[in-house]
Amino acid sequence: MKFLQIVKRDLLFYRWNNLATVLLAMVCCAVLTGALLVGDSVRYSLLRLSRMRVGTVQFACSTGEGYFRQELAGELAESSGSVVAPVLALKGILESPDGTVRVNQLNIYGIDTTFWQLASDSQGIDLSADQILPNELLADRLGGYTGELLLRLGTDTVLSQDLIFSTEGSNSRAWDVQIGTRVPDDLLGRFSLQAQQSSPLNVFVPIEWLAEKAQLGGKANMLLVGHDGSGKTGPEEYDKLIRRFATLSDYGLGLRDIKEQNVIELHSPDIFLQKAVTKTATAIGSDASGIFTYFVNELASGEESVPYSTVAAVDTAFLSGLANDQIAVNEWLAATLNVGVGDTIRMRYFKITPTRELTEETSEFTVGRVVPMMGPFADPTLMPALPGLSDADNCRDWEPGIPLDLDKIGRRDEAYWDRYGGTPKAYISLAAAGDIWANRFGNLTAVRWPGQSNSQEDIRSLLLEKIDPATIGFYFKDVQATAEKSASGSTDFAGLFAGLSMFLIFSAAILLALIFVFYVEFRSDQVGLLLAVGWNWLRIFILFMIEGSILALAGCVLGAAVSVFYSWMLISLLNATFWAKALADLQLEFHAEATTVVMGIFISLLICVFSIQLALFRRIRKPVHQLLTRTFENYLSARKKMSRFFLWLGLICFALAVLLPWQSKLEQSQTGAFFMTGILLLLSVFFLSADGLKWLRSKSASFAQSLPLLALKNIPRRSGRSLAVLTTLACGVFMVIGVGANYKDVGADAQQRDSGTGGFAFIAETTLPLTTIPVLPQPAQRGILPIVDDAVVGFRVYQQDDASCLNLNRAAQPTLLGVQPQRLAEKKAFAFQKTIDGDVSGWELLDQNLPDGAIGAIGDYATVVWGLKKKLSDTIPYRDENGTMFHLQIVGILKESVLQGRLLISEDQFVRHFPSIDGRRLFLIEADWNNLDTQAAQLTRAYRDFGMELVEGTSVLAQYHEVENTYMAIFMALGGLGLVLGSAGLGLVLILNVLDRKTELAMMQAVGFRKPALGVMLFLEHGLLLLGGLLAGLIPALWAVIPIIRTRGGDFPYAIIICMVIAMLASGAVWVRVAIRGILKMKFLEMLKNQ
Amino acid sequence: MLELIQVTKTYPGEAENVTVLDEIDLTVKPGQTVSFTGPSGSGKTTLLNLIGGLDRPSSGKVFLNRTNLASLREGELARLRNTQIGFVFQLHYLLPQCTVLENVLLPTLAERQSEIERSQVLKRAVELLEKVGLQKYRDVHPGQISGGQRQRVAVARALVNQPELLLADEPTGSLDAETAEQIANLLLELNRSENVTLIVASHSHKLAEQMQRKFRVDHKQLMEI
Repeated sequence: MKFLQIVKRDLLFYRWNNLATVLLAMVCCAVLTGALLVGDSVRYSLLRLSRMRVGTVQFACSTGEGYFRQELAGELAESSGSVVAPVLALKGILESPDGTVRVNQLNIYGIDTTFWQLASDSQGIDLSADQILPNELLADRLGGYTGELLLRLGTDTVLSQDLIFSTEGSNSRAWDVQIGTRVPDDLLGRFSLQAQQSSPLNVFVPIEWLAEKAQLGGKANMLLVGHDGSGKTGPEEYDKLIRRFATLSDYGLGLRDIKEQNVIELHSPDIFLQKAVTKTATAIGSDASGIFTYFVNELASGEESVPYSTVAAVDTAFLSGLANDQIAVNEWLAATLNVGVGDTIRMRYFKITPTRELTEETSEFTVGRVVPMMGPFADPTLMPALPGLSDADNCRDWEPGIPLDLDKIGRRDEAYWDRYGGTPKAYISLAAAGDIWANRFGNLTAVRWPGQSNSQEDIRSLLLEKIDPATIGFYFKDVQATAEKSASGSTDFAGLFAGLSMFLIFSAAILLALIFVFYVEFRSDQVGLLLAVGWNWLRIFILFMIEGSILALAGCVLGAAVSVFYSWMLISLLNATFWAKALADLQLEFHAEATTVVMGIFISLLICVFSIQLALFRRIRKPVHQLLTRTFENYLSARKKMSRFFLWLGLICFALAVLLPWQSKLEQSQTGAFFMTGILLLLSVFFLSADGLKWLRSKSASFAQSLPLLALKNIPRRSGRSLAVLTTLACGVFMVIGVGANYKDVGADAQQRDSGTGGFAFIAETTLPLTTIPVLPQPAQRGILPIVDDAVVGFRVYQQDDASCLNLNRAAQPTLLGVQPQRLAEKKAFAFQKTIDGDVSGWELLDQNLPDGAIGAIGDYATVVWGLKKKLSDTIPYRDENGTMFHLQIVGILKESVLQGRLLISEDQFVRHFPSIDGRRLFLIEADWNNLDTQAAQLTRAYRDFGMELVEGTSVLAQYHEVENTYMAIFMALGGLGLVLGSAGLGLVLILNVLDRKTELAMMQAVGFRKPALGVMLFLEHGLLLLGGLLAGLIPALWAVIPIIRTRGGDFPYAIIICMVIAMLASGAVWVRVAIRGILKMKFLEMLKNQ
Repeated sequence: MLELIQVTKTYPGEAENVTVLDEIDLTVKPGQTVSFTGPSGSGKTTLLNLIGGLDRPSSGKVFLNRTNLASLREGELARLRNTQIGFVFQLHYLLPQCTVLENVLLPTLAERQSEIERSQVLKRAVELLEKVGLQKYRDVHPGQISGGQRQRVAVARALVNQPELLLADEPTGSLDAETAEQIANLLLELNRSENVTLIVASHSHKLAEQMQRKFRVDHKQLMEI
């Protein structure tokens, strides 16, 4: 007979004995492979949504507030052979005239028919003026509304809202529109360049129509390149085409000849020239000179003053010999103020602050020269085109975006305006201007070249050649690669669910090992016989390993089949829970990759085989006579000194568990402290239990003069089994209780500053930026507290990816918020988990200079650790709107916050890198906690033209908690199943123990023990083991959650934990009882008689 | 003290029932020593099991101190076994986790005891260990003593509740000749000192010869030799 024939005969003969092994391997594989398949399904669903979101768009260039000619798209398309669509992307609000319909945060896409070619399905929809095509989500939101709607845009899309010269606006414009055909999701209805699984609210309109309405005739701010196999593989190839085809107007620049002055001038309709442009421009041509003309409130000397004048800052090429503390005045001003060289002039002016707060400052200069009002000093074109000023016929018609006291303007001033227009009345040096008028928009209003030594064409060519389009926001991104990366690199659901199922897999493996022990012991006399007839250990080991592996493989293959159903069930469960609702009604689709299934089988097989060999090795390494007679127990002499190695190990672990987590650093991290303490305490419990069992075994001084004492003495008889069950139960209880304790609730402390709301009642987001703070100085009713400036903290928003737990896509670059750190520091808002410098208040770290020019950033724990997979001091690269790369460094991590998913940086740094982003769009608002509904309604009404969406901070936190709690609920459910298996293991151990001791029990019955008494003894024996396992898990878990109890106080979920403990105890007791009932039906006396 | 009247024991077989004992009669007086011998499968152990209340006859009656064992319920039978009968098996069935003394005390745990009773049985267990010559091993585990010593512990355990009847099934079956003789002597000595009725089932003629009454079990019948 061949070796494998024995294997075959064994498997066939013991097929029923081995059914449990196969079933447990099946559970192991089904759970593990199922978890991996959930990962597959999430990835597949996100990838499908990503592809739907970007269609066939391969590369995209979005210039934000920079607008270029729509023809540029045609030029790129013609040159490359690709489909290139121009898009004008703006934000807006949709509302019905009667106010019954209101949609904020609306993405308005001005498109032409080429856009439809970028969808997978290129069958487009006709576009017509005054008609909006809503995407599916918006159409659903609008419901059956068929009436007229108003489409509202911001006030001035050309000029930055932050410029003091721009018109501050609540006078946004709106147009009547009709609702057209809905744009399905597979026709780019979900189009967005941000990685998110939720559908945005989109409308599509003709680009020409939108451009005209937004006073951006013929302009676009986005180029989309389709994937059509044109051979251009990288975005940089399209960057080169931009360089080739872009005009100065595409860069927001203008070049003109000023014949009166015989100069060529570079200027911008945005008033200021970007710093990257001025750096390039001043370096080309010959004798370039920079000009910075500013509007000042007053020029005065002594008692005389002149209101509202332009002052130009010029360089030495324009006006040589002017020191930085000197001012050159024209003859008119000198005469009006009655000043001459050496006199002092006071200049009052509004400073441009990042927050658009107007602070008036004063600087003093000494008159260095008095210039004649002729030649370059009689040049009204030095004043840039300021809206509300340049186009006014007289001073009384001035309407700049700053408060003016027109009464101050006298007849002489009107006369000057009539005769000289915006001609500057004074001149200072560029260096002096840089000191007093520095702002984020630029440091020059024009660059000029002498006409005699330069030609406009030469300057144009040089500028187009030298300006790097990327520095003004013209660069392409690989949209497909980003979409694929964000979907496939999303939250690792395979890992997450494998982690959540870990305890269930562990329990199944332990149970599998116990079952296999049972099988081997059942055949131990055969092992003894084989050894007796000359087989060696290894050969027998291999025989059983082959049998075990075949059984495990059969189980795993079955498990792989079951895993399909299991993962489908999990996905259906997720789709049906609040989890899906919190994630914008995300509906996961089941998807299985063959490689995943094979991997699941392979890993499960390894786990099973490892468990089997662990069980097998010790079981067959016994003396032959023991195997033949099935006597495995060997008691130490009572007098022999017992090794206390485990005792010391246990005590050391206990001491570490008590001391370590309370160190300040660890205490800051509740999760870290929980796991550190928990693991040490579990180890301590394990070692102390091992020592306790040894002690019980060796303890002979105490008489077992009662049934309970005899039961106690029975516990350590098969200490390996007892320890396996005790450890399994302890781990399970620890995990389930620990996770239960972390179950999140918004709680009663939501009004506290150190809570997740930061003490702010509302978080408000506007569609259109606000340059002022949203306030409610006049409450709707008496008794309600007003909302004043100090109650609101505003944030600038650079919209990027949502890195919160609500977005399953991998967020490479989360949305950035610019905030004035001292505003949050003063309020002591939010609690920090960690900071890079414990001596500095967290928020102040945003203002600190960091090495290598990095910018300090703060995010909450979920964003930094889970969303971005980063830790303190890690850096994240960003590209600013000038195309320059910069790095954010995590300087602080908040415990939790309503700002989850974003990173906060200081407003100063924000405006430095994103100067064109206007105003603020996010606000944290303190309100009257007793009248939130009233105040919410009042605020929303007051700022409806800006599309304000107001949410209570507690609701935002609850939404985040909902997602996290779902994961914890799954963990607890799977952990609970694991515990059921663990307690089933206890029942199995009981049966194994009884089978080992059946003759002994028979003898006890023979000498007068009744069966109920034997049942009590067995119940006590295994009940104590159950109780020990529960306590061994419960005590470390409760100890480890002390920091959480201290933080959450009365909010701690005691009820959940008590219920879970009772459920576990009951489950264990039931299994033990069931096993005992079965056992007591056995006829012990028959066994004795037979023997 | 012990009376068997027309006791028959039949086991169900594949084709037909198998009768092991057929209408056996036996009377044993207090303090007597009795041996059952006979070939393997003759029914010695079956007879002992019927006497000890481990099994019930198919017909006939077994009286122990005028109590018909067949009329007792399981609980009553267990109590009777605990208080009136002592068992010594071929295999000692000692609990490996308990010490020698605890093993002797094991039968006393079957019923609730007062503190006084507990100290009394402890004293008796110690005395019994002295009688079987194992007083110095009282605190060791069975795994640390020899086979003969283990059987002596089993004997002491059988006597701890001062039974009137001691049943020994092949008590020397797994022992060498010298140890077997020691055990046989011990049983007889205890019979005298404890005034306990001793019934032994054994293949060993040497052991059987030492009993006052000798019976042979063969062909379903019991014959006094």
